[in-house]
Amino acid sequence: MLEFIQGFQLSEFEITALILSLKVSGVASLCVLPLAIFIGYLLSRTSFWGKSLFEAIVYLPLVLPPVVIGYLLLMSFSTQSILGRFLLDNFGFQFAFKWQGAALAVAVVALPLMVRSIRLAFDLIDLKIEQAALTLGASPLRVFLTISLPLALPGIISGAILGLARGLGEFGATITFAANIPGQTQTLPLAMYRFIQTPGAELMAARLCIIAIIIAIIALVLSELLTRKMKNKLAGVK
Amino acid sequence: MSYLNIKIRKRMGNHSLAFNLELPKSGVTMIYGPSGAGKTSLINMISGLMTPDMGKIKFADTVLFDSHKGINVKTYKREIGYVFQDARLFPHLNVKQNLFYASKATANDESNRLIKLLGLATLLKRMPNTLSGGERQRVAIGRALLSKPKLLLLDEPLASLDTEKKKELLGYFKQVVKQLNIPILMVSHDESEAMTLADNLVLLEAGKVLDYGPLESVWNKRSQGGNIDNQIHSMAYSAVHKFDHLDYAMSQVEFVHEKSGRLTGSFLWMKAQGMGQHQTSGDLKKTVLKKQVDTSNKFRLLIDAQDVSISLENSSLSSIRNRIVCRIVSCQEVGREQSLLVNMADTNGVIFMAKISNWAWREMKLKMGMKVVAQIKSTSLVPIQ
Repeated sequence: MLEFIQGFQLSEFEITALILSLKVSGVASLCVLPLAIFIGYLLSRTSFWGKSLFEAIVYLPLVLPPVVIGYLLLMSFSTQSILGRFLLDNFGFQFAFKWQGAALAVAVVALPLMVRSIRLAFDLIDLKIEQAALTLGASPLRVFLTISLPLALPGIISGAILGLARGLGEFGATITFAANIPGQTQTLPLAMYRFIQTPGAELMAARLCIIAIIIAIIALVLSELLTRKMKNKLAGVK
Repeated sequence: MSYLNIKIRKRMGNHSLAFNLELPKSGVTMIYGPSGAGKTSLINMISGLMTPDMGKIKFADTVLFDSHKGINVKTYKREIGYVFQDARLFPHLNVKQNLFYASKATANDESNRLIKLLGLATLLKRMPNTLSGGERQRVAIGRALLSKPKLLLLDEPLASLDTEKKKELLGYFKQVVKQLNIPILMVSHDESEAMTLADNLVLLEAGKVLDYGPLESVWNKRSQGGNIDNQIHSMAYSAVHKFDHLDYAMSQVEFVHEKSGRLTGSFLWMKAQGMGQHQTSGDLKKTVLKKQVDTSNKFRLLIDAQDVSISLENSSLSSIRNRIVCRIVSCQEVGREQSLLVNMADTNGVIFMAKISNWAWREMKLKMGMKVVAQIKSTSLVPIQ
C-alpha cells in the first residue's frame, strides 16, 4: 500500500489518457453548451407543434444504452454512411476512430443532462421579471442576454459541469463509435477497461480509478462553489 | 380632450372583460374597484403584456392595438412605464443598475434629482434582496420613471406595505407626481390612496366600466347611488386650508369647486393639522379676511355620511362645531338597512350627505326642499394627504 502511494507519480501513459479525457469532454461540453442553452430556453419558454416528440428525442440518450448510441453514431457518421461520406469528400473530415468522434459521442450523451438542468433554471425564473424588463423598453434579445441568461447562470454552470463529468465517464458510446485507440480515443475509462482486461495490470487499473475519483470530486466541489457564489450574489452577500 | 382611447374586449375563462374608456392627457387616474373587477387586466392590456381579443387602444396619436388592422405594438416599443405591485427588481443587479436598466435612462441632473427625491441616493450599491419593501417600491418607481415613459401605469404599488410605510411612500410619490408631466394610471382598491393622488376616477366592476370622470363627481355619484354593495357612503371634496385657531387647536378649511378650482365660500372646522400659517390667537375676523388662500395647495376631504347628522333648529348651542344651513335636495334608500341617504345643498351649492334612519326621517317630518341644519363633528374630519 505504502509503495502504491509513494509511487503515485503519473506515468506518461496516464497523462496522455487524462489529457485526452479532459480534451474530449471539455471540447464536447463547450461545443454543446450553446445548443443546450438554446434547447433549454426553447423547451422552457415556447410551445410549438411536435414539442413533446422533440423533447423525447433530446432526452432519449439519457435512457438509451450507450452502446446503442454508439451504434447509431457509427451508422450515421462512418465513412460508409451518406453523412460520413459527405463530410469526408467535401471537408476531408471524419469522426469515426478519431478524438473528435469520441467528443461527438460525449456530446450526444451530455446534451440531455445539460438541457435538463438548464431548462429547469429557465423554468425557475419569474416571468414577471422579464416582463418588467420589457416595459422598460428592452428588446426580447436584450432581456434574454441581461436578465434570463444571468439569472439562469447557476443552472447553466451546474448543467455544464454535470455534462462534463458525464463526458469524462463516457464509455459505451465512445468505445462503439470511436474505438479504443491509445492517444486518439482512449480516454480514462477506456484505458481502465483495457487494464482490467489485461491480466496482472490491476494496479494500473486502480491508479486510474483513483484519478477518476479525484477528478469527479474536483468537478463536484467546483460546481458547488460556483453555485454558492452565484446564490450569494443574488442574496446580496458580498 | 381625450388622450387615451380604449375600447377592448377580452375573454378570460368564465369572465369577460369589456372596457370603454377615454382618459384625459394629464393628471392621475385611479382605476378603482373590487378584486376580480379586471383592474390589473386593463393596465396589462394597455402595456401590451396581455393581448385583448378585439378592439382598439389609442394613445396620443399612436394606435397601440387594433384587432381589425392587425396592429399590436410590442410592449418594449410602447414607451409605457409600469410599476408592479411586487416591485419586480432584477435580483442580480444592484439598485443603481436597476435604476439605469432602461437604455433611455441616462445619468444627469434630472436623474440625480429624481434619485434624491425618492430617497435612493444612499441605496445605490445595495442588492434588491437586502432592501425593505418600501425601498424596493421606491426603486421600482424610479426605474420606471428613468425609462422616460409617455404614460405611467401603477398596479397597487403600495399594497404590499404596512400602513406606516404606505404613508411614507405616498408622500414620496405625491412629490414625484407633482413634477411629472405625463398621465398616470394607477390601480387601487384603497380609497385613501385614491383620494390622495387621483384627479380622475375609473370605477370598474365585474369586468365593466361603471363610470369614469373627475374624481369627486364619480365618487359622490357612486356614494349617492345608495344601492351599491359597498358599506361606505362618503362624499369627497377638495378643500384648502384657511387658518388655524390655536386657542382650540382647530383649523378652518374652505371647499373648492372641483371643475373650476374656485373657492365656494363654504367653510368647515376640523382638528388642526398644522398645515397653514399659525395665528397666535385672538382676532379671528381679521385673520380670515387677511389670509391669502393658496388654491394650488388643495387637499381632499372625505366625509362619511355616518358622521353627518340633521337637526331642525339652528338657534340652540351644540357641541358640534359644523352646523351648516342646507336644503334637502334628494333622498335615497340604502339597501335593506332601513336607513336613508339624504343629500343637502348649502347656500353655495355644496352638497352634504347624511345617513339617517327611516325612523328619524319620519319623526322629524323631513321633506324635499326643507330647510335643515347639517351637523358634522369636526373631530371626525381628517384631511387625506
